[in-house]
Amino acid sequence: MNASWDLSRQEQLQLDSLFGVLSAEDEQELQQLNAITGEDYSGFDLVAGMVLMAHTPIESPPEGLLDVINRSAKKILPDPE
Amino acid sequence: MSLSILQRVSAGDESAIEECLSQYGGLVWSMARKICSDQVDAEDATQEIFIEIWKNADRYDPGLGSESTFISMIARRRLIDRLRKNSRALPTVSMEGEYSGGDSVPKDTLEISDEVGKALKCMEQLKPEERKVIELSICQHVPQTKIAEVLDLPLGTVKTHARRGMIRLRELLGLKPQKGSV
Repeated sequence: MNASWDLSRQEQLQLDSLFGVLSAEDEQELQQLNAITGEDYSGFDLVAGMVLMAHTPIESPPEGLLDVINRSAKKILPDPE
Repeated sequence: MSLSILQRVSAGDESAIEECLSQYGGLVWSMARKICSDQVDAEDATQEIFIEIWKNADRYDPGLGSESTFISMIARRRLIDRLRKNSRALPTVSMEGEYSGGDSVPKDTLEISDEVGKALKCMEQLKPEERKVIELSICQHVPQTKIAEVLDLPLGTVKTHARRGMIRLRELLGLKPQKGSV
C-alpha cells in the first residue's frame, strides 16, 4: 500500500494536538482552521479512539453508576423538536 | 433506515439515553478505569464523558465511522484533557514484550467486537516500530520524548514513526476527516 505522507497544515496540527505537542500559538491556529472547515474532530482523532478501544479490556461498571448517570441525563438532554 | 442511538439521543429520545448507557457503559467505564488514577476519578470521568457524548450526539456522522468509534474518540479526548489538566503522573510504562491488545477479553457488544477486530488487524499491518510507538503513545499515553528515551531512538525518528503509523492507520481504517482540510 502506498500511503501519502504529505499532510495539510491543518492535519499536521491535528496530529500534533493528538500527541500533546502543540504550542499555544499552534493551538489557536488549529482552532481557526477547524472553524474554517467546520471540523469538530479529525480522522486522526477517530483512529486514536479506535486504537485505544481495541486495547481496552471491557469491564463492568460499578453497580449503580449507570443509574446515577441516567438520572442526571434529563437535565442535559435537548428538547425534542 | 432506523436511526442510530446517538441520532435518537440528539432528537431528544429519552429511551436512547438508557440504551446508550447499556450498550457503551462498559466501554466508557473501562477506558476511564484504564486512564484514571482511582475508581472515584474513573466514576467522575465516566459521567463527564457521557454528558459530552450526549451534548455532541448531533455531530455523529455514521458515514465517518461507527458509533463505538465516535464514542471512544470522545472518551479518549475527555480523558486526556483530564490528565493534562490534573498534570497527574502518567500510567507506568511496561516495555516487556508486545502489547497483548486485550483481544482475548470478551467485548460487550457485537459492534464493539467487530471494530476491535478491525483495528487490531490494521495495527498488525504497521511496521513493528510504528506499532510500538503508537501503542505507547495512544494506549499508554507516554510522551514522545519519553518514548525516544526508552526505545533509545532520536526524537525525530519517534515522531516519524508516529506520523507514518497514524497516516497508514487512517487509510487502512478508512477514517477520513469530515471535510477537505486546509
